Amino acid sequence: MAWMVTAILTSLAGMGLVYTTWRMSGLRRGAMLTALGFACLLLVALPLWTAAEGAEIGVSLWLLGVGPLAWIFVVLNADRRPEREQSMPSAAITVPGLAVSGRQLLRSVGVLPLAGAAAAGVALVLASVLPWQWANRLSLAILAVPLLWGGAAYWVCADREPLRPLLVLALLVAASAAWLWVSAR
Amino acid sequence: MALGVGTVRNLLSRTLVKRSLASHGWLGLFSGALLYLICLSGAVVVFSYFLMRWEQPAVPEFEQMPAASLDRAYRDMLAAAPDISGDALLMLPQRDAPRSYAVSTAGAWFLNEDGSRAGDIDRPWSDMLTDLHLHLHLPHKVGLVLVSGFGAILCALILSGFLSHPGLIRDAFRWRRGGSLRLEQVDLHNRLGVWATPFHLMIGVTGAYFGIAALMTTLIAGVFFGGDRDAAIAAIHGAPPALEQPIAPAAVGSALHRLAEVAPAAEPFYIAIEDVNTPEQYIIIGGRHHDRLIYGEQYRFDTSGNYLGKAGYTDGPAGQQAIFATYRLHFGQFGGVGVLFLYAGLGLALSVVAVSGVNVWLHRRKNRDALNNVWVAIVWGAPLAMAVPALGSVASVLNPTALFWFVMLGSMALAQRVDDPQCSRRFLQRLTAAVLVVAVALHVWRFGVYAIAAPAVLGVNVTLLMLALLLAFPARRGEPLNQACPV
Repeated sequence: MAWMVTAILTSLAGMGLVYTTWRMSGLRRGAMLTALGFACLLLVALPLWTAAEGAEIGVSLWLLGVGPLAWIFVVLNADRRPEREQSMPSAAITVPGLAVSGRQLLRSVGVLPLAGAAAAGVALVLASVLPWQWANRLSLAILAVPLLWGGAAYWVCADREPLRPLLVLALLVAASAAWLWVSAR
Repeated sequence: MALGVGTVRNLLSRTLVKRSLASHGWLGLFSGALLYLICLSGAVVVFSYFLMRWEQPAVPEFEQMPAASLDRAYRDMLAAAPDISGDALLMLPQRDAPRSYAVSTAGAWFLNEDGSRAGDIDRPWSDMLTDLHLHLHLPHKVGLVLVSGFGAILCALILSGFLSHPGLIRDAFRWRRGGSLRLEQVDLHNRLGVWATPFHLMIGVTGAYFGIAALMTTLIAGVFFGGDRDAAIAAIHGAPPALEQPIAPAAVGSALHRLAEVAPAAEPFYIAIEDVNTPEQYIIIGGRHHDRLIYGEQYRFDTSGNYLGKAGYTDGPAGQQAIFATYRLHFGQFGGVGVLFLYAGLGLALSVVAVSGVNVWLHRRKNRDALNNVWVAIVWGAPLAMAVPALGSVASVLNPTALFWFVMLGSMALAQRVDDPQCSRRFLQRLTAAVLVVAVALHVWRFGVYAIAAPAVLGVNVTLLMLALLLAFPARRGEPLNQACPV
């Protein structure tokens, strides 16, 4: 319990230091204090969390605790302004045309099944080439899929040329399927 | 700031920021409503064990169960259904979960301390909430994969959010409250989104895992193991023991005694009898290791209770340990009640991120239309729709899933009829508050002393009343009511 309290207080102190530095933005010492704040947060609080709860749970709590601690200072720093009356005129809902709906549907296909299939294919190729034991290769492949899928989905929506990511992802699906088919034979 | 602001700005070109913002906006609108339902129900489901106890407060509770009682419970299970097949499960009582129950193809029921049958498991409200979080009430296979897809989209939203935010450090603690509603929502969205990133990323990856795992196992089996799914599962989770024994009742009590000798540090929390009534039958005892994130180690025994070895989650390959840690990490099942509240808070914050993102988009538009009405009905109709089936649970008459969607649709119709989002929001909040108060009153009326005797059940009732208070008197911007408002 003592370790836990110390860990929380140290994390709070570290976040407080980061906040103080942020408030002093523009001062020359700002950069150094920021670094010190993060060092306090990273270097001191982490081993305390680990001592309190063990390595796995300690690291998890240390990471998860950052948000709530930061929000203490966000609330303290809140800039309260007089409310402004904001009313928007009412209008009839605009139904998108066929072309717009088609583009959105295509993008949805890119974001969900296509990006997902490409992510799974790349993850399996990765598993097939890594020199580790099966459990590690396969676990990495499974856990990497959401990250790869997320990256691909981001690209589908961000590219200026909407067809480019779709084509590349389709190619990736085909290439990874071919690679896996050949390596499985 | 000397450190940070310039660095982040230099890394992110104006074009990249613009394209990332477009991507973030599209993905957010695409997923907003369902992501909100998943996150909000997730924040509640964190307390599912408490909700289950609230639904059936009269079930006997105890923290220890003798091995002889477990033997009796298993024998009773076999007597009730001699041709039982598949796997059978006996959940053991623990300090923070002081109930025991048996699950098999013969049914699911609670156990008394002596192992005798105590009554059927019947928790329609918490099952409905869990089903909403895991499957969005869709058929389970489809729902699980769809919800997993939202885990991946959450990862995409985190990436696009960071790349579209060049003022990340400049605005690190900024929150403009009041004034422009859009700026208030922008700050709320960005601050909650950025600071809770470790939680969001973990939830995205582990949440996606549950649905992806089954699909990936099938693919892995096809690619690496000639279509043999069992071999693929064995490669990740370890192979089951190869046994050929005379068919006999499993000696669960003996296995439990043996566990105390071979793994004294493990706290047994479940007993699974695999392949019941077959020559391959074996016993798994799940042992909790409190300083680890893994769900538990699996200690294996043959039908007679002889120790065969462990699966290796405690000291096996890192990948195996990581896979077996996803459940407790996703649902906050480590570190006690404090961690549950941390998870609920962070889950609610993620719900607010989803809502405020859509709010920002709605406020950017010059006009207000039916979308504004539907959105406020989704946001404030969901808590109402989650609360109303609690009444059904207490009164035991209505299908909670049908009730949930009926209330959601009713909220949308009402919001469109009222055509004033602020007014609809206030009405739905107060109606939810009233429903929660009635649910607690009905609970106390139906269960009497059981509704206040156990701290866990009393805690749920007090929490529901506190939520009702918060919803009835929210600290909100003071929009004036118009005359058409039904409250």
